[in-house]
Amino acid sequence: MSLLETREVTRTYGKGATKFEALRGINLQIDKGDSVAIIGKSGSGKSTLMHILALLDQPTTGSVWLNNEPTSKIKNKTLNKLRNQTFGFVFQQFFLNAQDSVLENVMLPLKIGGITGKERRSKALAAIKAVGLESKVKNKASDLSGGQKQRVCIARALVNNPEIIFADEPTGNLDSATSENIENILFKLHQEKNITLIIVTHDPDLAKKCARQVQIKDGQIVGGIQQ
Amino acid sequence: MRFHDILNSAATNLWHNKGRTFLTIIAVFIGSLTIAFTMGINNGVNDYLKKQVGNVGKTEQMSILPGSSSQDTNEPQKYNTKKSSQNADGMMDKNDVKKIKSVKGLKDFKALKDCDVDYVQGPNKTKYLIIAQITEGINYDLKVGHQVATSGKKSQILITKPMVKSYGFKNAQDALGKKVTLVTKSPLTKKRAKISATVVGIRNDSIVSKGFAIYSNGLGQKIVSANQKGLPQALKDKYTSVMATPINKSASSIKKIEDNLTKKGYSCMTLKEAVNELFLTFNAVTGVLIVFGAIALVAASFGVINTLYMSVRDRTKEIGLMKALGLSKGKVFSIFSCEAILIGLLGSSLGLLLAMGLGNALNNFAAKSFLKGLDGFTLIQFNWSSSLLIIGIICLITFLAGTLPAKRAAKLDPITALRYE
Repeated sequence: MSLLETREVTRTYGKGATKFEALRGINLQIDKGDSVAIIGKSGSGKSTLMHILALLDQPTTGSVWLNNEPTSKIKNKTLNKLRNQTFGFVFQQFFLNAQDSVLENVMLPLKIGGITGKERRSKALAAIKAVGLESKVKNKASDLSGGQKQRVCIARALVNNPEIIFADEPTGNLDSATSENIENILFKLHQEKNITLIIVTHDPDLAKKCARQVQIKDGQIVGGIQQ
Repeated sequence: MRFHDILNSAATNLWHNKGRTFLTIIAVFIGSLTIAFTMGINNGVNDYLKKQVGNVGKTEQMSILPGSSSQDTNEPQKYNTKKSSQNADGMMDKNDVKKIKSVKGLKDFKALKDCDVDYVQGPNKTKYLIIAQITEGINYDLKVGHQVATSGKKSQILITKPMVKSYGFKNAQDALGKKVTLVTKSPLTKKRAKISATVVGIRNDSIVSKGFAIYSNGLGQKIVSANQKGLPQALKDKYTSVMATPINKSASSIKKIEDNLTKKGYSCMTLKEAVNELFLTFNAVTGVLIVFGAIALVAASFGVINTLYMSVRDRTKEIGLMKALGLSKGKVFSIFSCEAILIGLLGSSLGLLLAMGLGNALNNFAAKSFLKGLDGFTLIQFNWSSSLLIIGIICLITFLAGTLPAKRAAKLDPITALRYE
């Protein structure tokens, strides 16, 4: 039984002469506990695919199924709750609020989810501990190194105990030693908590660590490796 | 997201951009200060007005005078039966009284004759001039004592506070029940007559008949008869004014009576109108101030729009992230609306506080200078309802100004927002 599934998904931007097909008929099944690398060159459509899988974007045609239910029928309110509690996001550019402390940044999804008080704090501290940043709880996000920032991002993605973590080029801005560290954290979580990992990357080393690789070219799946 | 988190997010953002927030608040602050200050003065004056007129009773009582003839214009006026040069001396005769009585809708006519008094003497025997009028039957604002009799023959007088000391009384209480002597003479016989009157009350300084002593009906009659001793009847019937009470007290029926009287060549005014007229200039000034305040607020609301647009632009990525993390459109809108309302709340409260401070200082100054002696007149007054109203209205204005940027923030597409550079 698949957790996430796309059926003949296409995504078109623009109209007429400027029409651009970012995705052309993607069929993909992702099972629970999977780790999937979506690889491809810049402009291949891999980020668009991730946005559609993360329900941040809707396909032009075709459908996305979550837990064997079509996502097009999900109401906005439920969708927001789903993204808040079921999904976690890690971005290449981190998107941390520079002026806020590490704790504040990690608490953001809980704040959005309406969790308050002690529960919010203890959950956030647990997530920060999981990425080994206990000593930086009160530091401002802007005072951290790149690797530390990405660890804060992972803690933020982790804080709601999500089923799926979407990572968009998580190591794209980091040097190789730091990348290694971040990758280790991600895969440790994947194994320990059985979190499904969907990683968009053009880094072959990172892709190799995933159980599955999906190669995208010109909006189509052109190949893949199942390890 | 809970309400306190939304509020917190808005407040934090305002705090992170202190300079910008401060400048935006100043604009709101100026508008609020002007309006609050004006409202304070309005409250103070209206409160005093209410006290004065409210105590008086019979505010609809109308005083009817001969119509102004030559004062209005430099051109010689043509004669007609309604206007003669005789009227120009400001006196009315029997015919005038008859004409006035023919106007429908009035009752309790009382024609007042001129009371000429040469001088007045108190216990210390110093001779003073006196400005006075016969009681109009209203309740004069008294410091001590009671009103004079409006009918009968009792010879009573109300004097003002400055008169107490000058006439040789120790204080207001001391003056009560004591006698003063009014000296008058007949224009025909030149014979002086002494009339004694009992002081029954001391007037507070008031805008109603300011500085006038008040005679009881009996005292008035005595002075008039002394004045007119030996005069032929035709000359005795000279009246300064006619007092009358409208039967129907509604504004529209009073207006009708006034129109009728004006047509017949008389000028008339109810006591209420007389008091209100004093405040016409004042109302015009406060009106202009309020317009200035409103203009400042309109300018301020554009400032709020501008600031929030900048805030939305600065926070595009943050908004995108929060929406990706499941924050609803409504909550995004609330965050920015909260920001706008906070600006309004801060600006208006600060403006109000300063207005209160300035008001206090000005009240202290006024009590010692230009309002000295006007008891019960606090120039600038603030009350909860009008203060909250000002804050409420300003918050509403800033909220409305904030809806434009807040809507834009709510509509942001998370993917586009996250890509935004």
